[in-house]
Amino acid sequence: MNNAPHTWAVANQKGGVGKTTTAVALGGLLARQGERTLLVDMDPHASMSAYLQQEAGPAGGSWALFAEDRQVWQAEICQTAIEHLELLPAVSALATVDRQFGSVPGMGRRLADALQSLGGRYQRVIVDCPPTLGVPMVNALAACERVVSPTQTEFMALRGLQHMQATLAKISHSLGGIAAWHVVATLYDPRTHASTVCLQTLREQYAEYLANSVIPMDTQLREASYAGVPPHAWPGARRAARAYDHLLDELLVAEAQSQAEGKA
Amino acid sequence: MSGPSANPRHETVLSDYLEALLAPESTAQQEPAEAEPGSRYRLCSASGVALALPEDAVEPARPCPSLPPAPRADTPWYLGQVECSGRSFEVAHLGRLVAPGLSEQPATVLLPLRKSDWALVCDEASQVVSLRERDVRWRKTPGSRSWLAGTVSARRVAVIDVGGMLDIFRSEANVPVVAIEENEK
Repeated sequence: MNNAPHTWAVANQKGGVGKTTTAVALGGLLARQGERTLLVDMDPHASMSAYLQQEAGPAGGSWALFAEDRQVWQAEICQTAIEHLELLPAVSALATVDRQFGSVPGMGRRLADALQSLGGRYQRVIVDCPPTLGVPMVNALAACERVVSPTQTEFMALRGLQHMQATLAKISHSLGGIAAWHVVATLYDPRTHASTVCLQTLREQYAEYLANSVIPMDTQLREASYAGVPPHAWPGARRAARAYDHLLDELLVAEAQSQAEGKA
Repeated sequence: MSGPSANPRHETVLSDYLEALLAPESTAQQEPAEAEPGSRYRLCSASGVALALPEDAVEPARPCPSLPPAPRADTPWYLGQVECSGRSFEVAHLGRLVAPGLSEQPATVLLPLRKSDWALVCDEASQVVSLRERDVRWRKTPGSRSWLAGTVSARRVAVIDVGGMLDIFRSEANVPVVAIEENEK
């Protein structure tokens, strides 16, 4: 991945855990720091595209990564309302790529190859994954150095995390290498017993992977998404924005440590 | 790292799926070595029927836009004009044309025909392959299916005669067709 920008995938095989919000929050904070950042929406629901109020172009946004004329995908990248933050939007047709290409060997490497071709255009790429394992998620996991798995602090989310862990093990086996994994507790509400117990369970069972930062339940995040701005740019969402800021620091420190150790 | 699913068979299926997807594409998409070069064809599927279109007759595939109901009951394969990628196409539903009566899959791909204002919608169109002339059982006499150029029994695909298909469009849909080069066989 010599020419590829640093790439993080935001993935969990469970929906509603805060993947899109986390991807937009991290992307927004990186852009605020002046890093040229590309967000890639690989989810057929196109939630990130909707959040940032962008639509795919004629070639179908990230769907174009799987089309025969692969060069067209770069023309699908659009500038968001935030400086230094660009987006490759998604279309619902992404839901069909498994049926179309799920049996075509090598289709899991399309995003990785595409990012290689970007040269130095971006310093950072953040991929928002769908909650199901398939061609789009495999592409994201194969292209990234780090996997960030937001995990809602409730019992059902733990099971999604187990699936995610198993998937990462298989991907690592296929690729002959492993992406660093970061589990992030989200939607944390200390007033509820379930939330506190779940966070404790995460700390016990995933100590090696769990980020120190905990993203609190913050209804203002919904307002931020309605306004189409990252949490840090929404005055009411300061609590969550601060938590995401700490998370970004953790990820960047981990990245720097890995580089110093000669890893991803 | 072990997952929640303990069934070894399921695990193997999933591992094989991932191994194939993550195989290096440069070698994975190579076709088996052939003694003689063939012509390039786009493989597609329509209503479950495997079809091959001459590669030089089609443009790159695009995501299928929302499709309207057929405007005329007598030609259910003709869907009228559809906007896609900033262009307007006369659209034919390939499955309804070649296999009327078979159960339909939702169309996911739109394939514009080169040098024409027509496009085909089909279930999928994921691969380009080489077909040797001698492997195609060419149709010698025209029949009722003028879209059919021949068949490749080894691959179980029907080769489409694009020129013959455009003749159908012209005569049955009663929509003018922009001239297209003769489909080379």
